[in-house]
Amino acid sequence: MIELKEKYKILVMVILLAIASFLTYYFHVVFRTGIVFTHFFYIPIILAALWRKRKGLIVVIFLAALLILSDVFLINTVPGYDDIPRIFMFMVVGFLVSVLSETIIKSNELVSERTSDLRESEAKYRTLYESSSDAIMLLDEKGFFDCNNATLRMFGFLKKEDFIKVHPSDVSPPYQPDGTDSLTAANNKISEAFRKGMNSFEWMHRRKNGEEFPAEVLLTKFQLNGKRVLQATVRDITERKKVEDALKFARDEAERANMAKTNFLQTMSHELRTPLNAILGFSGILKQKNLGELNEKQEHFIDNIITGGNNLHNIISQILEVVRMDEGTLELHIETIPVTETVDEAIGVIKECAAKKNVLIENNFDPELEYIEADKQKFRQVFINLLDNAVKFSKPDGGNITITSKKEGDMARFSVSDTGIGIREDDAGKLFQKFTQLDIGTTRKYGGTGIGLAISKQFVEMHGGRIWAESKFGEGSKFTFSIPLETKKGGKNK
Amino acid sequence: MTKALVVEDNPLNMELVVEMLTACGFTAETAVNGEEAIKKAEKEVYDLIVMDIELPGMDGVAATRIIKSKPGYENTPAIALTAYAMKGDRERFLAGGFNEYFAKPVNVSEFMKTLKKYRK
Repeated sequence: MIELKEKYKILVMVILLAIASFLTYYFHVVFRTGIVFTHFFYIPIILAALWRKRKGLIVVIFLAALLILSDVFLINTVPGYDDIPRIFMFMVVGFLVSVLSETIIKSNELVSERTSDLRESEAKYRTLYESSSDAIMLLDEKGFFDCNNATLRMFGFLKKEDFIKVHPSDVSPPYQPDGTDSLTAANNKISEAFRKGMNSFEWMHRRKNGEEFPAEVLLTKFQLNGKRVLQATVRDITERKKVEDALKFARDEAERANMAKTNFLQTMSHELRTPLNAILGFSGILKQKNLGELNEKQEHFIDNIITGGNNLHNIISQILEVVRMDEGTLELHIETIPVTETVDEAIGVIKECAAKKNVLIENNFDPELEYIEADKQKFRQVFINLLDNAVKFSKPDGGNITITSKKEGDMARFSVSDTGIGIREDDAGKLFQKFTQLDIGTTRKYGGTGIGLAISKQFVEMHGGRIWAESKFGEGSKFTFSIPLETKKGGKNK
Repeated sequence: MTKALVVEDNPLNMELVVEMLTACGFTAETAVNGEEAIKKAEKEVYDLIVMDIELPGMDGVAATRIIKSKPGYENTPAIALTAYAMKGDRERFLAGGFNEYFAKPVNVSEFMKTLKKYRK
C-alpha cells in the first residue's frame, strides 16, 4: 500500500518538474528573459529530499540535476551579479513550495497511518469483543442492540439479528428468585445503572431452550454517538453457585455436628459431676466429724478420697474449658474477689500433693492487694494450674513454692516460683500450647493433661492481662501473670 | 426446728443433702421430682427449699417458681443445685427467685456455712 503511494508521489513530482521545465523554456524562448534560473527553484527541493532521505525523491534529484545540466549546456547561460536577487527569490519560492509539499505529503501519510492504526485497533477490539468467552452486549432503555458471539452461544440464539430485538426480561424467567417479576426488576437494574454509572448484581436468566441459569451481570454506562447506552457483561455462574451451595451445606453440617458435640459434652459433664458430688460430698461430711470422731488413719483415708475427687473434678473442668475454648463460648463473670482467701482455696486443692512431695508453700502477699475484680473461678483455676505444675515438677527430695502478689498501678501481679526441675530454653515457646507437655515421658512420669497452662493463658488474656514464665533448667521456674485490678465486664480491658 | 424441702432425683445426692441439712439443725422432707415437690409444698409451708435443677419432667426452675407463687412462700429462701455450670446460669437462677446457687460437686463446708444462714 505504501509502496504504491511512493510511486504515485514520484510520478507527481516528475510531472510537476516536467511542467516547470517546459514553462521555463517557454518563457525563455518567448520572452528572452533570465527566468531560466527558475531551476534554482529545484535546489531547495533537492536539499529537502536529501535531508529527509526519501528514496523516491532520489529519482527527482536525478531528474533535477539533468535539467540543470541541460540548461547550462543547451542555453549556454551563466548567472551574473544582476541575476542574484532573482535567483534568491526563486530559491525562497522553491523552499516554500517544498515545505508545502512536504507538509501535504506528511499529513497524507499521517492520515493514512492514523486510518490504518484505527482500522488495526478497531479490528483488534472487534476480535476481542467477538472472541471473548464472556457474553458482552450493548443495550439501551428499549433493549439490546448489539452483542458478541459468546452472547449468542450463552442464550442459544443462532443469529445476532434475532438477539438484538430482545429485552433482558425476554431471556429471563417470568419471575426472579426473590419473587419480583423480571420485566420490572430488569428495568430497575437498567435505570439504576444509568443513574449510578454502573450496576453489578446476580440475575436469573433463561436460554432460548427454556433452561434457566444463574448469572453475574455487570452494567456499565457510556456514550455512543452522543447517546447514552449500557454495556452488559454476563457470566454464567452455575458452577460457582454449586460450589457455594456445597460449602453452605458443609458449614451447616459442621454447625450441626458442633451443636451435637456441645450437647454431648454438657450431658457428659452432668453425668460426671453427679457421682463426683457423692464422692466429695460424703467424704466432706465424714470429715466434718458430725457423725463421730475419726481416728488418724480414717481421716487420712478420707483426705485421700477428697484429693482424688478434687483432681477428677479439676480434670473434668479442664476438659470442658478446652471444649469451650475451641468454640469461643467462654465468658467472664466478674465479681469482687478476696485475694488471700481465693489463693488459699487454690492452695487447699494441692496441699495434700505438696505435703507428700515435701514441698513447702509460702505466701508473700502485698497487704495493699486485698481485693480484685475478676472472674473468681478462672482466677482460682489459674492458681491451681500454676501450683499444680510447681508441685508436679518439683525435685524428688522436695522444694519450696513461693506465691507473691503485688499491686502495680492499676494492675495486680501474681507469681508462683518453685525450686523444681525448671524448663529448657528451647522448650519455652511450647509452654503455653494446648496438649503439649515438654517431653512425651512427662505425661507418664508426672501426670497431667497438658492443657493447664494453655487454659491459664486463655483465662489471663480474657481479663486483658498477660502471663509469662522465667526459668533456669535444673534450678526452678517462676510463672507470673498480671491482670487489671478491675476487669470490666466482658473482659479484655485493653 | 427449721423445715426444709429437698428436691433431688439422684438418691445418693439426696442422701448427701439431707445429711448436710440434718447436721446443720434442719429437718428435711424429700421429693424426687417437680410435681411431687409442688404437692408437698401445698400440704405444708417449708422454711427452706433446696432444689436440684436437673429433674425428670418439670425442671427445678419451673417447680420453684410455682411453689414460691403459693401462699406463705413469698419470702421462702430457695437454694439451687446444679451439675450444669453454664455461662449465665448463676445470674439466671439468682434472678429467677433463688437466693443461693451451688454447682455440683458441692463444696460441703461452703454449703453448710450457707445453710446455717437460713436457720430459724
